[in-house]
Amino acid sequence: MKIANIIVKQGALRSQPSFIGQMLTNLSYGESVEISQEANGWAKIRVIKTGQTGWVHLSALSKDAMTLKSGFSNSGNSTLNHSATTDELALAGKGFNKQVENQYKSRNPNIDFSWIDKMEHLTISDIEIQRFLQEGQVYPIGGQS
Amino acid sequence: MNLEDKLISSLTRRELLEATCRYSMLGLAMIPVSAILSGCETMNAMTQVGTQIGAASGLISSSQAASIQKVATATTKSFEDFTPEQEYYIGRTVGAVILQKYRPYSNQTANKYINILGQTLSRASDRPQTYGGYHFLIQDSNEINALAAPGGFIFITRGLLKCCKSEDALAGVLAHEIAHVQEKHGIQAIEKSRITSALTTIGIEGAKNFGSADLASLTSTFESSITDITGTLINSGYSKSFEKSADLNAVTILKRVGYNPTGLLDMLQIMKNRLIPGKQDFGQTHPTPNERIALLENNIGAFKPIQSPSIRQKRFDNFSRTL
Repeated sequence: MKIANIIVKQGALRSQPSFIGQMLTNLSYGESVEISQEANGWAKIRVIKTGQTGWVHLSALSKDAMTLKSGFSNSGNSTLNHSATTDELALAGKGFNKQVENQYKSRNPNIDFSWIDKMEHLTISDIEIQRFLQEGQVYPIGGQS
Repeated sequence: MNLEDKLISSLTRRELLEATCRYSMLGLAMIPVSAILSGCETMNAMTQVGTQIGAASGLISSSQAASIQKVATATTKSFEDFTPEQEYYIGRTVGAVILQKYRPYSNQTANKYINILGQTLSRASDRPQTYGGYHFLIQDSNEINALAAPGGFIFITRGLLKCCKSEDALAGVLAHEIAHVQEKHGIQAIEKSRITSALTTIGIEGAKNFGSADLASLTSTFESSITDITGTLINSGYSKSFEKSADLNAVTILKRVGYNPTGLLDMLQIMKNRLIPGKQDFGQTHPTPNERIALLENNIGAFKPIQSPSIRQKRFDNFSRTL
């Protein structure tokens, strides 16, 4: 078993290893998961906190998944595991981050970020995508033929 | 202030590495000479041996050893070591700079349409998840251009959209830009020395908040990195191999979703008659349409000319009328 963390704002947990698989929930940044299987860029996972299972694309997971040692508790309460994960996530949060962006903005007040924020606020749901595909008679591989 | 704080906050990277060597030498007195020689062959190996011994002997803690090792290995990092979150912040600023050149086209209906189509395609890519997701915006310009900022911020001019005569063709354009994000072509435009500089600062700072000096230094590196990327996107363009890769990955995405990849060919046929020599657009930053058409024809496989279902063509035509 390997432990990994969600490294995107919203990691989609799906029922199948496919982009057209039903979305079960969104996992938050930093959420710890246990990987039981990998296939074609997808990982079958169990959310340590809730026990929920499903598939997450590997692009949403930290690369440095840790292998659990024998006898290690899978509860996620291990001090050793928790500490290592927190360190990695804290490091990931450094570097080019909000603090640097704010400093950049203060140095470059002529650069307007308002449309970038607007872009991010326009979200598209899974339901809208399914409807869009159906209405346009677009049939993904693995979907309706 | 403890030893780790002193190391991290007051020493330059070189001093830090020298300090690591001193720890190594203190520890090395306790092990055979043969191990000393083999362990000192490279700075990284030296650091590893020294920090392990220092930690084992109680001279430094295991976390201090980890911090020192992290700094020493920073010099060997590459663009792949930028986290998705860092790529996202780079992309936000690259996008903001791009929007200074091409102003946004604020039609909500049109932008919603390309976001539904674009996000559908992005989910079928080899990188469906970026830190902040994929987002698309039309730019109010008749120039023929599209730009993909790191992390998934994608911009398309009205001029390029008008080269598309079907949803399949538009899907081809968006899939090409998604492929640039998937392959992280944007952050590869950052000079390698800047990547090393940034990751070294990050490594030294570890999990702490940036001090003003480090923040100023990192922000300068950030500014230069943005200039590297926007210069490549707007002026020089990516290498031909990156463009070829983006076209081929676009075909894969289109096939997965169920769009006809010959749509991209149709778009390129129109584009080649509309590009104006000397303009700072696709003509300057991409291989010629003829080169791309030849590549695609050899790789698409057997696909019939596009015959969109009428309902798909109707919604595309409705979109086109908003441009």
